[in-house]
Amino acid sequence: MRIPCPHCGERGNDEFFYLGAAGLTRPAADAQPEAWHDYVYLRDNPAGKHSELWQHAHGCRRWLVVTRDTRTHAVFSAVDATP
Amino acid sequence: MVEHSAFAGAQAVTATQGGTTVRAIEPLSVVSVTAWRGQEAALADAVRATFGLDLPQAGRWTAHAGLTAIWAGPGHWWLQRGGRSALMQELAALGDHAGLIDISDARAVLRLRGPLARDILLGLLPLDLHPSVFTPGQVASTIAAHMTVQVRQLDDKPTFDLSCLRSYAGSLWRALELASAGPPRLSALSA
Repeated sequence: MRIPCPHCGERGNDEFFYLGAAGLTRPAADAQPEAWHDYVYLRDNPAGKHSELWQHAHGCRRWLVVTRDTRTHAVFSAVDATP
Repeated sequence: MVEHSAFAGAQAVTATQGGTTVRAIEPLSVVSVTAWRGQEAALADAVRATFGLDLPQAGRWTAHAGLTAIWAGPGHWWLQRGGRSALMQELAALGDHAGLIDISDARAVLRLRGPLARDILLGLLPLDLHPSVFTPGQVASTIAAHMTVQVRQLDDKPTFDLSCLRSYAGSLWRALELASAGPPRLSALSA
C-alpha cells in the first residue's frame, strides 16, 4: 500500500506507523466502565472505507488521518490529524 | 575529549568503486529547529535577517555562507555547519520563535559521489531517484534497510548525503556496501 503524505508525497506504507481507527470519541472521566471498555478495546472491522491514524514515522513524523478501502488498499485521502 | 569517527568500525572511512566515492562527513554541527505554533513566518524572517538564508520549502534544502538549512517536516528544519562550531550559541536568538536542540552527536553522515551514486541508492532507498524526479536541492526522509535515513542531493555529479542516527552508522555503511555490490543499474537500463 502506498500512502500519499501531504508533506512528503507518495511513500510506501513501511515508512509509516499504524495506530488504528481515527475519530474515536473519548468518554467523560466519570463514564461507566462499559463505555471505557468500548473506547479502549472494541473496534469495528469494516470491509470497505475506513479512516485510520498513521504516523509518517520515518518521514516528516506527522500524524495523518488516512481514509482507505480495507479490501483493496485504495487510498481516498490522507490529511493532517491535527492542524 | 577525543573525537571518534561514527564509522570507526568500518574497514575504511572512504571507499571507491567505478569512480564513485563514499566518505564520512564529520564532524558536523547540527541543530534541530522547530517553530513554535504560529511562529513559522517570524522564524523565517529571523533566519533571513540574521543569516541571509531562506528557510526551504517542503522537501528542499538551502545553503548560504556555510550554513545549510534542511527541511525536516512541517515547521521543522535542521540547521547545519561543517566542523565543530558553537552553532547553538550562534542560533540562540532563534529561541524566541523555535525550540532548538543540538543533535550534532546524534547524527552520522555519509557522502556518496560519482557516476554510480544514483544506481547504488536505487538498491537501498524506496524512493524515485530518477533525475527528472529527484534533483539537487531536494531532501527526503525515508528508510534504508529499516533505518530512518535523510537523503539530500547536493549536485548532479551526482552527490548525495545520507544522514542516519549515529548508532546506526556501521549498519548504514554495510547496507551501502551491499547495495553497491548488486543490481539494479539505471544507467544500464537506459543504455
